[in-house]
Amino acid sequence: MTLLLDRSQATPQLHALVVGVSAYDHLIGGGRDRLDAYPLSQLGSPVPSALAMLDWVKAYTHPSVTVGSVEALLSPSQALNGWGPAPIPVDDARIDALVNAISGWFDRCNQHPDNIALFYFCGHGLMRTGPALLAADFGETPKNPFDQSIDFDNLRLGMGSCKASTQLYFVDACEQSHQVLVTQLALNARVPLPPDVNAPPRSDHLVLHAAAPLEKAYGVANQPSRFTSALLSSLKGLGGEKRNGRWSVPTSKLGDAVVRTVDRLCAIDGAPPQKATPTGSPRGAIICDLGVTPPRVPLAVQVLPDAANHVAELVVAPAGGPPLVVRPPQPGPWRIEIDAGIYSLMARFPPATFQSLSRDDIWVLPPGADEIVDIT
Amino acid sequence: MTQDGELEVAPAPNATSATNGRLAVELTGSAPGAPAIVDILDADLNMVENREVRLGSVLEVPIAPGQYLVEARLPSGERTRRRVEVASGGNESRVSLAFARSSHEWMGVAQYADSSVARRARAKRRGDSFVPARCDCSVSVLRREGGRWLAFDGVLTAGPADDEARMYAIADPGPTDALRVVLISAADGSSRFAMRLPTAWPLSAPSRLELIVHTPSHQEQGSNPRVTLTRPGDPLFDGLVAFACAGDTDGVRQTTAASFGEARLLDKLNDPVGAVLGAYVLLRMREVDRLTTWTQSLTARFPWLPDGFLALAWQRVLEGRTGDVPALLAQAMDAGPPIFSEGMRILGDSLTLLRGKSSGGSELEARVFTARSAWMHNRPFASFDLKRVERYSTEANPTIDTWQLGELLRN
Repeated sequence: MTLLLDRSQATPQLHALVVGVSAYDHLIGGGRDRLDAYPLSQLGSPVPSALAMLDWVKAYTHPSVTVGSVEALLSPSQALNGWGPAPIPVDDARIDALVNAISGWFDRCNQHPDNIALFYFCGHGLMRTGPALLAADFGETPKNPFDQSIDFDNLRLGMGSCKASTQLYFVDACEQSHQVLVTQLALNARVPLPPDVNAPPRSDHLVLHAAAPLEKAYGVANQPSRFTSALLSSLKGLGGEKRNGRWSVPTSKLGDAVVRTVDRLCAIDGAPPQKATPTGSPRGAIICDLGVTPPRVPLAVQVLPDAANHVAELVVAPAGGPPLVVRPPQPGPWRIEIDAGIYSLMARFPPATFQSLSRDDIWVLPPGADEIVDIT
Repeated sequence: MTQDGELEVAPAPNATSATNGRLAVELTGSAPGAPAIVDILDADLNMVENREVRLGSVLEVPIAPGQYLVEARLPSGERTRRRVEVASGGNESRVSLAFARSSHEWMGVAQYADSSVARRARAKRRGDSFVPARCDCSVSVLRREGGRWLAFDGVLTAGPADDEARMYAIADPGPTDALRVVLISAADGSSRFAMRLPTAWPLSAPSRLELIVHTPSHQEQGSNPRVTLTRPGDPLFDGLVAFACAGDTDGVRQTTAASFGEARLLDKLNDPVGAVLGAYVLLRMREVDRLTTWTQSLTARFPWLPDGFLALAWQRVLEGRTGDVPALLAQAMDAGPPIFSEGMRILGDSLTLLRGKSSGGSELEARVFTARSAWMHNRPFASFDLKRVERYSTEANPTIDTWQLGELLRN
């Protein structure tokens, strides 16, 4: 159990539990007795992803909620700077530590009804009738390797007993099934919080899965994964909405923002498709405050036809203002990031090629804008 | 930028206030009744309105004079937006937003829809078709006639299915005069499909066709027919599910708040498959109060539909009235695999919550786990997955093709 920060009290607070599992003892490359039935490898992305998530929590702001506690488990374990006067060693994400951490997290979240509970997991996941999140020692008991995993559906149901009225679950893991699993009725994964029939989940809760059921999630080694990158971009602005002069990220917007951002990242990377999947019952509670400054928003501009795109000089300017960004003629779509706002867009062409065009009604809003300038 | 919207801004003749403006937002498209979400932002990007508006209707809002952005989005994800200047003096400014391309919010309940080139292309591109190659399915068409069942057996070829094209399973519709179709996967023989069909065979031309056979007489011609199973669709339910599947929870909430009431739901009982979708989405959104006795009505009128029992069971769980939940789960099991994966989730979650708290629970649990295992194994044929469905739009209403095929069959 590694509490990086504990200011728990009975006032509205955010309580975060962040888990990143890159190293698995019993999987390929793990160095201990290998669990041959499951051809899963070590991962490169979960720890960097979890660290990026922790950075976001550290900078968290909300109109009425403060950060109450931050707990982390990382495999391989490491000491983290910036959370106290000295580096804090973080425990390995083994099953016993994970179960204890979930229990403590529940208690802290349960102190006030206006609390926000945040659960983040990045690592291997497997799916039977529901997802199992694999701890670092998955396979320690080879006859039932899932004894070292968390039954996520039961975790979510068990949190029905928790007072926290806003609950966020971010699961950055594959949801693949496996040939071996087909023969099993259930995974018999650990249930740290037994669900209570008298307390079904009634909170404003959002569950974001990195992958659709039975599909994969992707990451690049030693970098935050695609899903986590999209999640953090959304929490930092792309899930934003402005009301009464302030920007904030509500639960009702975050799912759509993450889905669209993952889609956009897939398109840019040319990487395998990945389908982020939001579920739950988000009712619009504010997750975090973004202040009064407009968030940065991606804008993609494509001139049609391609022949015109190649020779077009593109200019984006604030409405009625001087040019802000200029793109010289070049092939492919133009992708930039600018403050949310209203802009003018000009497409200028060499003489005797195409007719220049100007539009002054380009509203660039989260989670992003795609503009097509069709001069045909 | 969306290219399909058409903007008309014109002062309206009736001024109502010397100081405030009025804005009318008209949504048009070829799927009247489909829900759309309209956001109105002021020049500082503040959200000033966020409402559901049905295609074909007009949203009128009193609003301070100034510049606004009006954006509407369909469940398909298609968006159109226009800037509008609202004048002072009470004159009404009108914005007309047209969705030209999204002619209908057809949802994924179209099954084996290999009639669409676009869908085939997408499935091929994605490379993750759940039916990767053409496969033969034995089919048994049963017709209730004069108190006995007449069987029609043959082989149908199913085409590659993409995300939208899932088999869904409905249990025996019961002793009615409706036809029943059972499709069994040739690979393992354990999945099945059943749905209500027109009462005549070959197909007559009823008002709602749900099965398309692409060749009229497969046995005589020696070639396997291809089938496209479609549902004509209800714009409201289809749109609602499309919002849910896209993760557009704001769209779901706005639509349910604006369009779901007891009376409205009762009207929808003519479409039990769509109705159960609506129930699931309302339960997801914890809008239990809107359901009242509706799910009860669903189970009474359609006892062959397992999802009705599951929706009612989950409603009871959320209401804290769990006494009859085990019986409802058992009735759902009797009716067969649920159509929607949301039903699978409810089945599992209800049992988990009830574990150790009801008599006979362990027996029921064992039965459910066994069945769920089989259903999950045969997933492409057994379950329509609420989470995974992607919306799509077609230019043409598939029922038109169906009618033409009906004519073909008769000739």
